[in-house]
Amino acid sequence: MLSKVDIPAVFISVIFAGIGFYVFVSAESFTRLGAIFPKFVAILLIALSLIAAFVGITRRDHLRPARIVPMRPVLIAVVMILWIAVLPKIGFVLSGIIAFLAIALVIPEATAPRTRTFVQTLIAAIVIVSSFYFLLRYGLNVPLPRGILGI
Amino acid sequence: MDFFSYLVAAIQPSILIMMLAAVILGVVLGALPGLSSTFACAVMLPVTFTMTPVAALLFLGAIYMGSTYGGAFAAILLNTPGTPQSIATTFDGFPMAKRGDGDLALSIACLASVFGGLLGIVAFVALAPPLAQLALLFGPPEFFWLAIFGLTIIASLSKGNMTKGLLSGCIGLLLSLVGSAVVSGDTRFTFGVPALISGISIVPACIGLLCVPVVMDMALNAERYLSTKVDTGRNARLGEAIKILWAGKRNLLRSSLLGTGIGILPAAGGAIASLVAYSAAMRSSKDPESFGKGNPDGVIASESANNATVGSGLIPTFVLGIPGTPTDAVILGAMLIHGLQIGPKLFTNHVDTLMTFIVGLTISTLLLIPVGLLLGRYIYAFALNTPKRLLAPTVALMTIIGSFSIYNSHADVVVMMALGVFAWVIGRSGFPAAPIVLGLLLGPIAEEGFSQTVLIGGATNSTFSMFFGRGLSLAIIACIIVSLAAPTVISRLNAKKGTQNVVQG
Repeated sequence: MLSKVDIPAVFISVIFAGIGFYVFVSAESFTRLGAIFPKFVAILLIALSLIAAFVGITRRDHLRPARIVPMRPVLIAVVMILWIAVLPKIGFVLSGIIAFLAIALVIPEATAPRTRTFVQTLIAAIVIVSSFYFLLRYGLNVPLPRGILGI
Repeated sequence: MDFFSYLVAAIQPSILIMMLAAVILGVVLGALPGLSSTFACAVMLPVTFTMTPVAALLFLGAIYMGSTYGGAFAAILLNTPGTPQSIATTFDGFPMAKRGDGDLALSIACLASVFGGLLGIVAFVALAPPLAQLALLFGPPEFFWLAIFGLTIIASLSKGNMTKGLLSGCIGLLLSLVGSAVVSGDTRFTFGVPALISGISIVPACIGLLCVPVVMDMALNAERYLSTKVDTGRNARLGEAIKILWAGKRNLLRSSLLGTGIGILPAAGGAIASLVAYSAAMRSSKDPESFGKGNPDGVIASESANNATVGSGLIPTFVLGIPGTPTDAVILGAMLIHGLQIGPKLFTNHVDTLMTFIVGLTISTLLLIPVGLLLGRYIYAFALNTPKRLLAPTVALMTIIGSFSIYNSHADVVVMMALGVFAWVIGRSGFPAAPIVLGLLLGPIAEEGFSQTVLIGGATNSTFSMFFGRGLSLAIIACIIVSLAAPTVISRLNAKKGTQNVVQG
């Protein structure tokens, strides 16, 4: 269904215009040489944002944006954010295995979940996360975060 | 020593096995998002300490060539450049994979990489000293205009809604301002966060902007992540890839030459080369509208150009002692460690080592054919057949590893995730993420060139002529104008032709 106003695009454009204004004002406190490029980018950002907002309001060939935000992708993001937050505290391996399982549970399946599938996923999580750990830690000398278990 | 002697030195069984292992290792490391060719060479540098100088150079050269190509795997299958040089490969490689031509895209990338790599090596052998002198002619104004030329691709990537694309590019330029300014030293937009003083790293940003939305969208439905048009058990569609490459031979040659030319510019690197080659391919195509939607010519342009920079990037490195790319800096370090003299005297005092290295690098490039095609076939089959419930968390794991491994920094992982969520949110409203990556990549080059030009021009009262009075700058400006005007002119000419055909019919 067509909509007259691309509401999300207009909203985002207004926010970008505000950011552009903030950048321009902030650049006043920089040195002359350090302020040229930020001011140029700020002016460009404001101009393009206003044009995008205008186009979003006047162009009449937008599809009506989905009213419902898909929850599963948002859940994936939440899991990853929590994973990153606890990574330094509980370590790469433990956080990785837990997050691996959590993401796997969020991904929709064509068939109903079974215990066997969960066990397979758990085994895969342990093998994959551990493999990457050993490759990076001992193969490439990357000091991955260690947590309460020392791994 | 003659050529035959160099060949014999390079094909000793132990050396061959070492090069094969290095190529495989390079391809695998380059395929992992975030683990760039620089990382691959830097990590393997200590391994070379006990090697002879020739063996060390051969080892690192093979890793470099392999990892530069390896970036195409993640670019095509995950929309995430495994190395920054593969950014342009995502534009058409990923759409090809989504429509079932992922194996074809990987085969095309492999063969194009080999061709580009070989041409870069030929340029190094035949033209190293004069090309090095040419590199010295490029100054700040030229780098500024080159960055602007790269940015014009944003307009082309945003067909359908150019304003949103340009706005995304502008956001990328804005992100590039974060941190310490290179020329003036101002600390900008760090909000008191120490980790942001060095700015937003390009690799975590690429991973976040391009890969995180892909991971999130894997949860949208229960459909398979990738589909295929043909049975993947066969030959990776090699014959089809060869036909497409032959049909696009002009594009292949032009892109390889562009990659060679831009690769000699210190600090320009493979990323710019692949973007410029991609832009040129799009402008020259009879069907520019199909670029960004799965046109194989886009993959050909990007991959041939970025592998051409491997050989040509060695020119300023070996002749001038100025690394052409960050990876060349690692190779330069290896040369110094092994007592090799940098500069024109390298071609006289260490000619045997150098020529054996050239022959070995050529062999490594040719080894990419079996390695790339075989690995590509199995990795593609893996991506195809692995259920999403295992693929999504594995890719998520790689995004975190890739972001963390660059500087062993948790802050980079946070930035990666923040940008990823941002890209997903604005992507749902039609704002593309690729232009943000371009703005972030090219912004610092544009600003540095701009600021230095203003400084030099201000000191000599010749700012205008600095920007618009140099021959090379004018040539690049002409390319920018053609690049921006050509699509409009071509579409008007085509429309006119179409009208005439209708009238005559």
